[in-house]
Order: sequence, then structure tokens, then C-alpha cells
Amino acid sequence: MKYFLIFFLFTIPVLGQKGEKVESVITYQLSWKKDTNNLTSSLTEYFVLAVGKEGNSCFESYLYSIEDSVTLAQMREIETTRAIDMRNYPKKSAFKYRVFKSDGDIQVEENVGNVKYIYSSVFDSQNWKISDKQDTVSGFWSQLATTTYNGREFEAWFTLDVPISEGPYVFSGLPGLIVHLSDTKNHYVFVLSGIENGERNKVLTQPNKKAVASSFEKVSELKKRVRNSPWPADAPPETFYTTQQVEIIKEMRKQDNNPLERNQ
Amino acid sequence: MIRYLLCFLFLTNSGFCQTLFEGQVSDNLGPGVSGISVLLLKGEKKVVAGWDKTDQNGRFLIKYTGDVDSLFIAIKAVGYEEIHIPVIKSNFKYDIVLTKTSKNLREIIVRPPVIKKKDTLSYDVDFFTQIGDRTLADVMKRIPGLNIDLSGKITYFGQPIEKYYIEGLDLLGGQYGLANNNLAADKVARVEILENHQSIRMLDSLRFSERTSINIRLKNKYTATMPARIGVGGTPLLGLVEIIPMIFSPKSQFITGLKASNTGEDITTDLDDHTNVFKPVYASRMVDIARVSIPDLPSERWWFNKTAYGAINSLNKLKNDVELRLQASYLLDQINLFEESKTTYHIPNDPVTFIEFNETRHKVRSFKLGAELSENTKRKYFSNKLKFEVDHSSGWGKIMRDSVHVNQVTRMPLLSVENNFKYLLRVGSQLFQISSEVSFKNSPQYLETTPDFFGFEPSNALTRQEVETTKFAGNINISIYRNLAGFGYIVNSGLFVQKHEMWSDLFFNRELLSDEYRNALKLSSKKIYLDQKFERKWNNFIVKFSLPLSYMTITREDAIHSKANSIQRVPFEPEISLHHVSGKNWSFSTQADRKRSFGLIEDINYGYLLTNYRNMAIKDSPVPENIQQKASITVKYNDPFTYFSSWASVVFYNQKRNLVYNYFINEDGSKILTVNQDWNKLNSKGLLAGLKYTLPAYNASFGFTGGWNSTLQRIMFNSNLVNQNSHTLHGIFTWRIKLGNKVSVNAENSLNQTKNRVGGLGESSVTNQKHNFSLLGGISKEHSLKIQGEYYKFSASSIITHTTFWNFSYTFSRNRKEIDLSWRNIFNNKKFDNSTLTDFTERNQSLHLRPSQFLITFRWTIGTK
Repeated sequence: MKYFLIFFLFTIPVLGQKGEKVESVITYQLSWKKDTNNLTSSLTEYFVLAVGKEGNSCFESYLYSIEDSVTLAQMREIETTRAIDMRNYPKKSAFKYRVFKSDGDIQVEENVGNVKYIYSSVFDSQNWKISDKQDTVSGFWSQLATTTYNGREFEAWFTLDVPISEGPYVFSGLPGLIVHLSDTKNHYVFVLSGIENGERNKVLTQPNKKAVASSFEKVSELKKRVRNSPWPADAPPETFYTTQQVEIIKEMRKQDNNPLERNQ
Repeated sequence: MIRYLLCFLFLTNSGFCQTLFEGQVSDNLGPGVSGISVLLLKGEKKVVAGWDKTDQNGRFLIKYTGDVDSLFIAIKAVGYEEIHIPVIKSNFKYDIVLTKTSKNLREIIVRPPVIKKKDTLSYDVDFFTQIGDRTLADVMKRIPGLNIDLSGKITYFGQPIEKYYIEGLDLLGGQYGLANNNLAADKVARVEILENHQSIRMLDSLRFSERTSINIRLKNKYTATMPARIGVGGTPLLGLVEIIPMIFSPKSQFITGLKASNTGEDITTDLDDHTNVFKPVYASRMVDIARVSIPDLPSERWWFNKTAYGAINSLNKLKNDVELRLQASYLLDQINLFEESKTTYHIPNDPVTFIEFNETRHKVRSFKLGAELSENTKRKYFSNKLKFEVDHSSGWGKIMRDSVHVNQVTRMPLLSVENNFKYLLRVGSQLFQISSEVSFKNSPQYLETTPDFFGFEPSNALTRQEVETTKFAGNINISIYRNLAGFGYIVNSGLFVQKHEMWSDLFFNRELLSDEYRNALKLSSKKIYLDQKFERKWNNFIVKFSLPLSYMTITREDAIHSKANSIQRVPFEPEISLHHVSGKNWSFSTQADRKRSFGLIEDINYGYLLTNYRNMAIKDSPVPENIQQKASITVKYNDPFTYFSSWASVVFYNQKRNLVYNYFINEDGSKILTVNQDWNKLNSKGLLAGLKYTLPAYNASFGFTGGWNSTLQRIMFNSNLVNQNSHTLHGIFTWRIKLGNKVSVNAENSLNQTKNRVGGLGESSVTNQKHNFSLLGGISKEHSLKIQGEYYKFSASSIITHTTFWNFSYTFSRNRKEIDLSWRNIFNNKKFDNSTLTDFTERNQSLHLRPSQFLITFRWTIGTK
């Protein structure tokens, strides 16, 4: 009986790990312009779109995915064994969100001020206009489609060679995978950089159960407030920083003025 | 019908009326499959004209305005077979039943055959693999811009590659043939071409490179594989054994090669060092037996060989990014060759002609050992390479001419030790490089011949030429890299010291001849240099300018001939290059340089030296000096996404040297080479071009490389100075086409023409054509046949020859195992007649061939899938 109990106790966490297995891992490289006053400078970050066996997906920044979960030593290990030389990229992600897509439903889990919020995306996947224009993009024979989202016009190249209605960030709903997506001003450009088989037994990330349910509008408002004043509302900044540091922070915030969602 | 009539009557002004395509999608489990994308595709290019996702009942509705001709309803979904239904005007309602398939997403994704990221082009190996391809080298030949020659050397747009990485690690150095010729193509995911690759990471943004390297991406993170082959055949008895274990992991890599063969196949190309643009400074081969000329013919036809080698290569990542590479190889090679030849010297007086039957045997026993310790990161670079080589080469030859039998024996052993060290250090914003190269080579050689051709009595006595050369070279330099007003500025200064010695004695009838036939030469050179390089990259331009300043002294001394003198020179050697990338696919580069070089010890001997049984040389000359000027323009077009690449380059070259070679040619064909001090010029211009085009839709690929070259120089015969003009033209056209799923046709057609004119004599020319053809057909999944035909035609001044070969092979393969039955030289051709033309020498030769032979080979691979 004692051994049975031990076996039972050890089995629970193993069973608990079950979930939708990752079928494919699609990688995108994002080049974006942070500051509209300095459009010659652009930043780069890699994103991972994990697609599960049942067609559900999770999209997140590669750096964000490892930020909390690996130690520095493990990061070094990843750096030495992966093709991507992460030393050229910032160590902390500028995009602290995960996008979960499931059967047409798009949920965004976003970390604002160290609190995770979850809300439904306002992206309308029915709003695509497909053009007749075709070309080879990222090595795939692709077709052009356009849409608008939150104050920007986007152009997406999708391919029927990968028959899944997926793409970077919230963008999806086309009859094939989006291999290249950019706004018409090229402030945000996602380029497909790889498609790999999922690692054996890797399970698709699920939304954090402790995330606070919210809405796009509320989270947008919160992000605006944090951007303008990144210290607690009830305490003046001088409580935590010197005057010089406050000026530097304000200057840095000023340079971060070009979010993908223009209305934020 | 009514619908169309209404459209015609009321809507003609507005174009087309709207058509509704609707229906239900179900599968064998029942009606109503939700979430399936139903596509309306238009035209041959299959443009998406409309689409809808099926609802919970599996229903869809697509609205479309336009002409309904050439429309398709299509479904491509994970877990189901693909469906294409042509639209018929009379019916726009569809009940589609999908068939389940076990294929998951990863199996149906069509991976992009080409991906371009900055300077990296990544090609999918599966996409380029065709019937009959086994190794990575087989597939690489079809990648745009890449070429692999018979020795296994890889070039990209005509230029040799710099590095060959496997998963980012440089395991093999220049001996990449061992992996490229043996690694199964199905183990490799992608071939990455790294253009403008700077192999030293610390110099990545400081020095701009135009060199190209290759990186092999494997399908698995950990790969262990062991291709093996055993073959037996006849007649005489043929044998072939090879086993090549390979292990690749992120932290260590290992390849061992063990091969033995007497089938004529040249297995030694696995050990060739291909990354050396210039051949290593070799202790010169001063004497040799008369060699059989090597034709452009697969070695399996004419090489009577017994070859075996063992090679071990390992690379391990130690702590702190330090890598240790160890390479060792031992080669045993014996080659027997037989040839009948007619040699004609086209010289201003009566041409000299002689006929010989030549039988030669060469033996090589060579041991090489190399070790390299290196660290190559953004923060640190150091490398120390140690090479050790012992070579015991020997040759034996028998020549019959008229009634004379000439016997020759030679030995050419070599001992070579070399160490190269390089260290980069960052001090503030500046980068310092300290490097040193030290080498020592020693080669005691001899040649024995009977009878004598130079008037010694008795003429049938033994002549023995002994030569020993010793060479020590050392170079130490310090370089500084810094950014100067937007320019990359590199100062490279150092000291180069070289000491070269050569002793030679000629014995006739076992007696040492007089000092006239002896040498005791010492040649030493010292060079202090300060080389300044400026590099600038902006937009799509890279400009490089180099202005080396140096002071050198060369001293030569011969104790026997009591000669000693020295010269001092300040060479002027500027170099400029411009590289421009225009648009997506075009690139342009131009380069010009001036170099001044000085003769090596091989170019000076005050006493006579017998170099082979009928050639003797005496070079009582000042230090040979060459001033070379070269300019080239290259244009390249590469569109990787349409699989079309082409390039063309024009090269102008002129050389001015202080010596004219003078040949005294006797009636029996023996030559004495002397030199005269006089300025001599050589002018040369050439055009090279190539293209490669792959048509995936037709499973076909085509390629062409060709060129033209013209050279004008002065040479001297029996003290008469004459002009020599030569023109060469060559072109190779290759094509490969797959007919259906089972038949593949490959062909190569080439033409070479050489024309020479010496003095006022008429033009002599040799033209050769080569046409190869092979047909590979799969009878079923497991059985395939290959028929191969080769045709050669040579047209020389007095002879035209034709030779045709046929080969046949049958292959049975199952579960990564193959049995191959081959029948080579079906019609048992005994000789291969061919002609060559070099300088003033025309040779018409008939090479003895291996007889018609059978070979049964069993090939298999053990290891991870």
C-alpha cells in the first residue's frame, strides 16, 4: 500500500504534464523602429510560433520565452548550440506577451508592470483583402493580402505550401502561413526565418491561469500610463531615483514612441 | 443558363456578375468537417481568388466576381489528401468528401528550397537531390554558383571556397573531400553559402572579405553514420574496401576514413588540401623520371593502381570556447602507367620528332600529422597550427626508343615541419594581431639513368644525379586594425627570413664528375616590410587599397663555383580593388595589382643539373626578377529564387622578367636549358564565363563554363630569339534532365582548342572534344540501370583520333543497402589516343587502358536515420 501511494504521488505530476504536443516551430525575425524621430535606427528580435498537433498555437518572443525559465548558464548553452548568435541581440525582450490562437479565437497574455493580463485581441481575421500579386518570398511561392489593424495598414505574404491559417503576432486567418508581414511604413517587419519540427514531447504553452482577465482597451490604457510614468502612481519618482536618473528614464521613454498598436 | 442570360442583359456594363460557390465538406467519418479552408484558385499560377472556412456543419460560401473560366476549388489541409476540382459553368455547388491521410504538418510542409538572410544563401538539399545521388558532393554540383572539379575542389563562381564548416565547425580544414565525397546526402538538411565571410569573428566588422565559405547543416543535432563499401571484381582480381565512421555533435566531431582499392578509382582526392589557393612551399622536385602525360579521362580507365589510406580527424570543443583539432593520415599508393608517344618540337629549324614507349611506376608513402588549438569568438582569437609530414616517393621508368632501352630510378623523400601562430588582442578601440610562420623542409633526391644522352663515354654507363635541398623560412609580423575616419586601417609590419640551400653532384660510371656538374648554392633572403591597407564599406561598395613598403636583400653564394653576390631592392607593390553589389542579384568587382617576385633556388644553378634522362639545365644567371601586373573585372548575376546564376570575368596580365630561357635541342630530342640576361615580356589576356540554370518545373538543370586566353612571349632556341603566340579556347556544357519519376539523363559536352605559333613557323594546333552521356532509369523502387557513353576526339597537326567507351551498371537497393553490378569498358578498348600542345611541344600519345572489367559492390550505411 505504501509503495502504491508513493507511485501514485509520483505519477500525478507526470500526468499533469500532458497537453497538446508541439508539431512545428516557426521562427520569425522582427525588425522594428522604436523611435519615430530616429527612423534610421532599427532593432531586431526573434519570435517563435509553436503550432500544436490539434492546430492551436502560441506566439512569443524567443527572449521572453527563456527570460524567466532558464538560468544564465543554460542561456550560454543555448547560445553555443543554436544557429542564432544571441550575443548580437538584447538580453531582455521588448515584447512581453504571448498570443494564443485557437479555432479563430485570439487571446493575448501580456505582462504590464509585472502583472500578467489576458484579453481577447481586437484583430478581425475576416478583414483581409487578397490581391492577385504573387512572388517568391522567403523561398515560398506566396500571394499578397492586406489588412488594417489599430491605425496601421499591413501587407502580408502568405503561402499555400504551408496550409495553416497562422502568422506572426495576432495576424492570422489567411488560407496559408504568413511568411512576411510589414506595415506600409516598414516600421514593423516580420520575416519568416525557419520552420523546424517540434522537439519530441514538448508541450504547447498554455495561458497562465493566474493572469488577470481584462480587455484590450483596459490594457492599452494601462500601458500608456506605465509608459508615461513607470513608477507607482502614489509615489513621486524621486523616491526611487535621483533627478538625473529620472531624466534619463524620461528620455528613454520618449524614444519608445512607436508601438505596433498606434492607438496605445 | 438563365443566370448567364440575365448577367448578359443587365450587367454587361459593369463587367461580370457575382458567382456564389457553396457546398459542404465532409470526411469518411461523416458530414460536416469544420475549420477547413476551401480555396477558389484562378489560372495556371493558382492565384487565390476567394476562400472560406467551413462552419460547424462543414458548410462554406465563396463569393466571386469575374470570369469563371480556369477556376479550381481546392482544399489543402493537415490530415487530409489534397483536392483540386475544376469549376464547371453549369454547377457551383459542391459536396466534397475528404480522404484522411496519416501525413502530419511536418510532412506536408514544402520547405523553402532557398532562403536568403543577409550574406547567407541556404539551399535545401532534398530539393536538389535527384535519382542516383548518394553523397553530398553529388547534390552540391546542382546548387547555383557551385562547381566541383574532378579532384573534389569546390568553387563558387569560379573562386575556391575559403572554409568548409559542418554545423559551424571547421573539422577538416582543406581536406573537406573526406566529408563531401562520402557523407550521404540524406543526412544533410541544408547547404549554406556564406558570402563575404570573415572567418575570424573579432575582425567581423573591421575587415571586409569577398571570400565565400560553406556550412553544412545536418538534419539531426546528433548524427552518427558510417557509410561502408566492399567490392570485388576482375580481371585481374579487383578489390575495394572502405569504411568511414562519422560522428557530429554540437561539442565534438569525428571522421575516420579507411579505404583500399585497386579498381582505378582515385580515392586519394579525399586527402587533398583544397583551401590552399597557392600550393604549399614544397621542397622542390629537382629531378624526376620521364612522366606519362595525364589525360582528361576518369582514372578508372587507365590507372593501374594499388592504393590504401587511413585518416583520422577530430575536433573537440574544450572549456571557454577553445577548440582542438587533430588530423592524421597515412597513404600508400602505387601507380603503373604505359604509354606510346610521338613528340614533336615545333622550332624554327627543322622540327625534331621522336617516338617512345614509356612504362612508369610511382610509389608514394606519405604520413601527415596536424594539430590546431584555437579560440575564435567575438572577444578573443588565437590559433596555433602544427603540421608534420614525411613522404617517401619513388619512381621507376623504362623507355624504349628505336633500339635503345632507357632505365630510370628516382627517390624523392621529403621531411616537412611547419608551425603557424596567430593571436589577436584588443587594446582600447584598437586591435593588434601577432603572428608567426616557421617552416623547415628537407629533401635528399636522386635520379639514376642509363644510357647517357649528353655525350659521355661509354654511353651505356650509369648516370646518377644527387640533389639535396633544405629550406628554412620564418616570418613574424604585427598588425594593427583601427577605424580611421570611417576607413578600416590595417598596418602590417614584420620580418621575413628565408634560407635555402641546394647541393648537387653528378656521377657518371660511378665517378664524380668535375665541378662543372656540381652545385653548392646558398640563397638567403631577408625582408622588412610595412604594409598599409585601407578598407571602406559604404552602401553597397567595398573599396580596398594596399600600399606595402618593403626593403629586401637577397644573397647567393656558391662555394664550388666561387660566386657570391647580393642585391637590395625596394619593391613597389600597390593593390586596389572595388566590389559593388547592385540591386538584389547583380554584383561587380574589379581589381588591379603590381607584384615583384624573385627567383627561387630552382631557378639558379651554376653547374649542370640533370633533371630527367634527356633534359639538362645550367642557369648561370643573376637573381631572376619578375614584375607582374594584373587587372581583372568580374560581373556576377545570381538569382537564387529562380535558380539562375551567371558570371563573366576579363583578366589582363603582363609580366616582365630579366631572363630569357634558351633551349639547345639536339636531334635525339635531348635538351639543354640555359638562360640569357635580357628583359623579356609576357602579355596575356583572357575571358572566363559561366552560367547555371535549374528549372524545377521540368526537373532539369543546365550549366556552361568556358573561356578564351591569348599569350605572347619571347623564347630562345639554339640562341635564336623568337616570338611565341598561343591561344586557348575551352567550353564545357553540362545538362541534366529528369524524365518522369524514373529516368534521369546527364550529359557533358566539352571542347578545348590550343593554337601555337613559334617564330615564323606555321600555326600548330590541337583540338579535343569530349562528350559524356549517362542514362539512369529506375525499373522499380528497388532496381535501377545506368548506361554511360563517352566519346573523345583529338585533332592534332598530323593525326585525328576517335575513342568511344561504354559502361553499364545495375543497382539493387533496399533499406539503405545497395548492391551494384558494373561492367566498365564494355568493348574492351585497349588504348586511348590523345594529343597535347604546350609551348612548342606537340605530343601524340597512346595510353594503355585497363581492360573490360566487372565489379560487384555492396554499399550500406550504419547509423542514425
